[in-house]
Amino acid sequence: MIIEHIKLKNFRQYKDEKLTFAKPEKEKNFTIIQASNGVGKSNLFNAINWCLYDKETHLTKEDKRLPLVNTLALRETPQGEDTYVEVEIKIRDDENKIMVITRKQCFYVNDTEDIIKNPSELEMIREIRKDMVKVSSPEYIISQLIPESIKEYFFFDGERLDDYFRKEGAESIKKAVFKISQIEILDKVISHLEDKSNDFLKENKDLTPAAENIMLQLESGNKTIVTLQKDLDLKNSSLLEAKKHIKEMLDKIKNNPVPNSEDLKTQRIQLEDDLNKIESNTKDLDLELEEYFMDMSPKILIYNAIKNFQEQIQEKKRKKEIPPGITDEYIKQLLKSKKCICGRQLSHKDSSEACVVELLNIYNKLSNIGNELLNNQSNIEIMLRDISKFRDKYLSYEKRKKDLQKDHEDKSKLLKKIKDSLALTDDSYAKYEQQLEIFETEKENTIIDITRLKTNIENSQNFIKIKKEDLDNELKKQTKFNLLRNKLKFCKESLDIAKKIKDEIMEETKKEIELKTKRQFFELIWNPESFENVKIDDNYNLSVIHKSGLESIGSLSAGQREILALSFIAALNSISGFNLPIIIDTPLGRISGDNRLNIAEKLPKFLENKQVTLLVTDEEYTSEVRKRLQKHIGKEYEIKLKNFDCGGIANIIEK
Amino acid sequence: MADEINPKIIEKIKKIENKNISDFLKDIVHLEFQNLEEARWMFREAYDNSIKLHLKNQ
Repeated sequence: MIIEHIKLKNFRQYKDEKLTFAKPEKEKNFTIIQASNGVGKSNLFNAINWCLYDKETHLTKEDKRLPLVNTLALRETPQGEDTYVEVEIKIRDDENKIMVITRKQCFYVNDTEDIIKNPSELEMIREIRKDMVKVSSPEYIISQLIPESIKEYFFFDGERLDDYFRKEGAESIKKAVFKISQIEILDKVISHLEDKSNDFLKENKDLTPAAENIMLQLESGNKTIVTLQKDLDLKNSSLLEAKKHIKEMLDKIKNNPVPNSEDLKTQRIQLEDDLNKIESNTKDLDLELEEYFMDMSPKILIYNAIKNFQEQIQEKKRKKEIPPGITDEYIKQLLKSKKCICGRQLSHKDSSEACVVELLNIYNKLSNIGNELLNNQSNIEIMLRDISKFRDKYLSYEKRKKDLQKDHEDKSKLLKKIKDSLALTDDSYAKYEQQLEIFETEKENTIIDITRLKTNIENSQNFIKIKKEDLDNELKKQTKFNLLRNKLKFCKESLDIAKKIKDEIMEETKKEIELKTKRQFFELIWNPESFENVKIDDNYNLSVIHKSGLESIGSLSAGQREILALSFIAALNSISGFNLPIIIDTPLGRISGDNRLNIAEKLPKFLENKQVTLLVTDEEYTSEVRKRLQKHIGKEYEIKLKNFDCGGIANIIEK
Repeated sequence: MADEINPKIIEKIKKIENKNISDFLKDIVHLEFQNLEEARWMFREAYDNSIKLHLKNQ
């Protein structure tokens, strides 16, 4: 990237100036801008900074007191009008495309003679497919093109190069190296991967799988059912066995001749039959009662509501609100004959016909509601009648049940009496009766066991159904858990690798900068034999090792320190990948005598193929220095200042 | 102008033995490079999508 020109309007001492820069072609890559101290050399530097970043970093004490706007221009502007400060930088990028960056700021003087400024505005147009297009986010493009954090390694002040050797200087160098070598991208990757890993860990906590435990519960539940089923089968067999024995005993009792007691035996058998019938009737009665309750419960629960409903219908009928007093046929007839009930002619011109149509609509709605109410009235009456009969019907059930119980009790007592009498009469009969009783008891107990077993099986089946649903959910969770575990593993492995890459690049970059700084330093310095090495530590502190083996950075002359700083900047520059122009303010200001000439001679080689601009004072740009740079100078300017009582005007004059 | 990712980073990522991790890191480095501002807010979703994509290949 190169700067083609810079235009300045009303920027400090520059009222309307344009400066075209040398292009790095045919070795004429240097632009020299010469000026005496205080003429405005550094403000050219500030103009570039202001245009790109809205900042002026190299202001003199005097400049700090003055506004950004040229005071003469401000004074010449008629009262009530604005004065604009404008700096335009025309750039040609590495693809030979044009980009024009312009920053403007409006100034005016208010009634109390104060200078007021509006916020500055940045604009950028760039060449896209041969068209010049306005860029919507110029700040972003500038941050990509010339990041502010690294600009001081391309636009720098020769008198401040010493800053690089201070501790805070090292810190900013480290940041710049991170920016240049894009370690900050890896830092972001690492930080975001750590955040993602933590997210996965948090999610993982809620997904502790319980599937294994549920599967064990299911297995145990299934085993229980198998055991219960076996027990049930055994009990069913026992029941069949007991029933068979009972039948056998009853047959024996029936067929066993008992002398003088045939009547009793007949009675006994009859009573057995009667008792069976009573038990069956009691069962039927219970079922009937249950069904009756099922039917009546809802009716009893809403009794108050239906009672109220019926009263309201009766009230509406009494008031003759339902059914409606007129029929829809009658209203339709009125509409057909176009005559109102009062005899007036109906017309669509006034609202009369519309009113009757509306009446028909209302009638239809009311009629529907009224019909529904009347239709439901008969249902309501049936329900109320049922409820009124409920008490009597229930008492009747109770009575029938009590009668059956009494009958059963009486017949049971009589049966026992007959059985006892028969037992006294015949031994073998007594034995049969005894056995029959045992089998009956066994049958009853078996039935109880069977009922209990069936309940247990049903409970176990319900348990298994619930557990199967739980297992299904857990398996879904398990799948998610496994996926999450894989994600976490993948994330952590990626994180470790990213950290390793970052460490390697940091180390390699540092070594590369160290090597290049050392090579440039020894190439430029006029007494290389005095030094042994140049080193950079992990925190980017520079050190120069004297041939005695001692650290000697503190004892370097101003010229040697500048050579070291320039070497270091050149190294940063070469590894950066940013092909930016280099602008150095006062490059030789601190250097005197032969050293100045040495640097002047070696700078072109040092900054080969770069667009270089040197802002020099009359003192440093001696004829000898000029002679050494001559071959590489593409453009040469001198800044002249004209002083007025209200400020100065600087002119840039090409030599 | 640094309009491309530091080739050293790409070279090191390419050398990673696990191809899925290599592809994944390549993706997210590009994401961070191209959308520095957006990535600050959207990275969770973007990382999730990239992880899903590269885990599928495992």
